[in-house]
Amino acid sequence: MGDNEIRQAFLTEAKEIIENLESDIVQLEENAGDREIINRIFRYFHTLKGSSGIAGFTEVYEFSHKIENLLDAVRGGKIEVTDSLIDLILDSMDWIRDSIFTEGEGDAAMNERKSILLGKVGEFKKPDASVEKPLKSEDAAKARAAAHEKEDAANKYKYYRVRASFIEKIFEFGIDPLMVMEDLASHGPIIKNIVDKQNLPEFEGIDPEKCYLSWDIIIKSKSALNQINDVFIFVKDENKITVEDVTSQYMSEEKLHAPVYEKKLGEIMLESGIISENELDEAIALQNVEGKRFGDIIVNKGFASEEEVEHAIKEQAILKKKVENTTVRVDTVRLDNILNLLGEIVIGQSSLSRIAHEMENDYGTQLKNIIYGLDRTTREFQEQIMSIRMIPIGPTFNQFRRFVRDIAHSLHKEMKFVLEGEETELDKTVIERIDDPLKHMIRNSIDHGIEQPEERVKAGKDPAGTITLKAYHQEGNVFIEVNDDGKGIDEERVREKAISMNLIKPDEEASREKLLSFLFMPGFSTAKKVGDLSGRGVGMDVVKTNIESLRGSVEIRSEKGRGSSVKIKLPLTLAIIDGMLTKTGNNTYIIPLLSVMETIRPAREDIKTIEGKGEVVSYRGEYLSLIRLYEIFNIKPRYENPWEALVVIVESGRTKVGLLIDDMIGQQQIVIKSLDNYITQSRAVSGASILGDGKVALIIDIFGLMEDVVSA
Amino acid sequence: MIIEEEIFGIKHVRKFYGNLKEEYKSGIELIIDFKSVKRVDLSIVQVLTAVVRMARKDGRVVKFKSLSEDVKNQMILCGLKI
Repeated sequence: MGDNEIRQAFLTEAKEIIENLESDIVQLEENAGDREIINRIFRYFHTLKGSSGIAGFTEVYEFSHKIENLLDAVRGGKIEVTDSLIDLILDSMDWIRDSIFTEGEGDAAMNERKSILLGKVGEFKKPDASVEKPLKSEDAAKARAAAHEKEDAANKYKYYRVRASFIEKIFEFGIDPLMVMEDLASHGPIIKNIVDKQNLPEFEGIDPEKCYLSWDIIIKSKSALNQINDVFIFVKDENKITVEDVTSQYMSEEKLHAPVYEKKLGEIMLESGIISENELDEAIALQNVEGKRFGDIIVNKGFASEEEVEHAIKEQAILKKKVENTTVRVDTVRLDNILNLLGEIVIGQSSLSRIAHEMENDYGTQLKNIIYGLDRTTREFQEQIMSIRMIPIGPTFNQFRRFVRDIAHSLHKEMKFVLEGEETELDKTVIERIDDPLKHMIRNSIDHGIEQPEERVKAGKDPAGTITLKAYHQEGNVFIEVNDDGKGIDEERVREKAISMNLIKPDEEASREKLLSFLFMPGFSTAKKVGDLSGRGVGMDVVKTNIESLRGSVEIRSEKGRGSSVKIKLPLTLAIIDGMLTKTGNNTYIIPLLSVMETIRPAREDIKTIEGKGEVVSYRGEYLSLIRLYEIFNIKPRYENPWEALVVIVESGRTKVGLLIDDMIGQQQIVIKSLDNYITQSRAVSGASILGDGKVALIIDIFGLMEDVVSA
Repeated sequence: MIIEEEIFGIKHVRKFYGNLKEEYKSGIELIIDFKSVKRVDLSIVQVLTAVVRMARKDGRVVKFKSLSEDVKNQMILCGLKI
C-alpha cells in the first residue's frame, strides 16, 4: 500500500474528525459538565493521534498525544473546563488542522505556535495550576451526576464482551485496528483477551499489508454500552463488531439485565444522577397506577426540573439514533455513475417503447405491458438513488458553532446559537455549496445586527443575542433561514445609500421590499465603517449569485429593533428538475419550471423597442426585455415574429424577461447531465438531458442567460 | 536489526518484512532493537507474531530489545507473548 493512499485516507478521516471536534468543543463551552462531550473530544484526539502516526505526520502524532493526555485529565476530573481550556483545545485543533492541510510540518512559525501551545498545556497540568473558576457554575443535575458517579463508582462496573473482526484490507483505509483496540482498552481493565491468529498465514506466505487478527475480549468498565460502541464508530460499518453487556454472567450478585440497546428515560436520568433509584422506583410505580407519562410524573413529584427531563429526552433520542445508524460510505461519484447508467436504461427503454408501438400484433401489446411495468421500476429506482444523495444538514449547521463563537468573541458580543431542523435532508452538492453563503449571512448578522450587550439591555433585551439557523422542507423545496434578534436593518440608511448610488431618486417612494433588495447589489453597504468582518459592500451580492447558481432564491426581511431574517429557498436536488420542454427551430430546449411565470402570445403592439433597453414585451403593465432564443443559439427559428411565436416569461431573483420560443411541448422531470466546458462555455446553458426518444436537449440557465445578455 | 522509526507501521511493514526474511534466512540470532520506537501498528505486530511462531517451530529464538512500555502493551493486546 502506497504512502499516498494512506495519506489520502487519513486526510479524509482527519477532515471529518476536525469538523466534529470543532462543533463538540464549542458545545462543551456551553455545557461544561457534559461528560459525554468530553469523552467524545478525547476519543477524537485519540483517533487523530493514531491515524496521524500511521500517515507519517509525526509532529501531529506527538502533539495530539499531549492534548489527549490533557483531555484525559479533564475526563478524570483533575482539570476543570474553563474558558482558557476551551481556547487552548480550539487553538490546538487549529494547529493540527494547519499542520495537516495548510502549512505542513516543520515550518518555523508552526513550531513557534506549537511551543506556545505546549507551554500552556504544561501550565494546565501543574498540580496547583488552575485557580480559574469553572466556565459556568454547573447546574444541580450535573453536580449531582458527578457526585453520584463517584459514590457509586465501585458498583458501576459493567462487563462487556467485545468481538472484533476486521476486513483484510482495513489498512488501505488508513485505519489501524490495534489503535481501535487500544481505545477499547482505555475504558477499563481487560479481563479476558483471546486473540484469534488462525487466519494469520505462515511467515513466508504472509501479506504484511493485510489484517489477519481478530479479538474476543471481556472488558470491565464503568463506561456505558453506547460509549463502548462508540469506540468502533468509524469501523463498525465495514467490519464485524459486536458489543454485548455480559455483566450478569460476571457479577451474579447484581440484578440481571439484558443488554440495553434503547435506553429508557428513567435509566438515563438515573445514570446521569438526576434522580435516585428510590425516585425512579416511585415514579415507575405511579406510572403503572396513573398511566401518566414518566417525564410528567418526575416533574410533578419534584424529582427533576422540566429542563432536566427535556435534556434526558434529547439524550435518549441521540442514543436511539446511534443504535439505528447502520450506514456505509459510498463515493458520490459512484452514485452519479449509477444515475448515468440508469439514464442509459431509460433511453433504451424508450427505444423499445417506440418499437412496441410500431408492432401491431399481440407481441406488441405484450411488449408494451412489460415496458409499462419496467417504466415504473426505473422511476422508483431513480427516486431511490436520488434519496441516497440526500444528507442531513446538521453537520454543516454544527460547524458554524465555532464560527459564531469566534466572531462573537472578537466583537465582544454575547451570542446564543440555536439550530433547528438539523435532520432536514438536502442534496449533498447543494449542502457543499451553501457553506460560504451561510457563513457570510451569519457574519453579517453578528456584526451588523446584534447589538452590544449594554445596548441590548437598554432596549429591554437579553444581553446575549440569538442567531437561529433553521432548515425545513416546504412545497418540494428546502428553506434555510438565518434569523437574528438584533436591531434590524435601518431602512432610512439603505434609502440614503440607494439615493447616493442613484438607484432611486430622492423624491421617489420605494417599498420596503425594494429597499431591502438593494442589499444584494454589488458594492452596496450601509456600514458606517469598514471592519475586518464586513461592511465592505462585498458579500450579499455574492451570496445571491451563489444561491441563484443553485437555482435557489434569497430574500431579506427585517423589523427595526426586533431583528432580521434571511430566507434561502433551494431545490431539493440539483440532479433532477421539473422542466418545461420547448421547441425552437429543430431543437428542444428545457426551461426550469421554477423560473417560469407564464407563457403568452403577445399582440403585435405589445412588442416595442425602447432606447437603452432594446426590444421589450409588454407584460402586465411593465416592459420586459425580450430575448430571442434562436439568436442566443444562432439557429434558424420557425417564427421570427413574436406575435406568431410564444413568449415565456421567466424570472431570476427580481428580474423578469421574456424568452421567445417557437412552441411549447410540455413539462416533465429532467435528469440533468453536465456538459464539459469544451462543448459550451455559454452561461445560458446549465446542462443537458437525454429525452425519451434518445435526443439531447439543452437546459437553459435563466440566471446565466440574463447575465450573458446584460453583459453583452 | 535496529528499527529507526519512531512510529513504525504500515508504511514500513513491507520493507521490514523483507529485511526480516533475509535476516532469518541468514541463520544468525534475530534481535530486533526497538529503542527509537514509540508506537507500532497491527501490521508490524502481525509480522512479529508470524516470525516468532516460525522461530518457535524451528527451535530458534527472536529477541525484542529496548521495548518501551507502550509498545510492550500493544504487543500484549495483540496476544504476542514477550
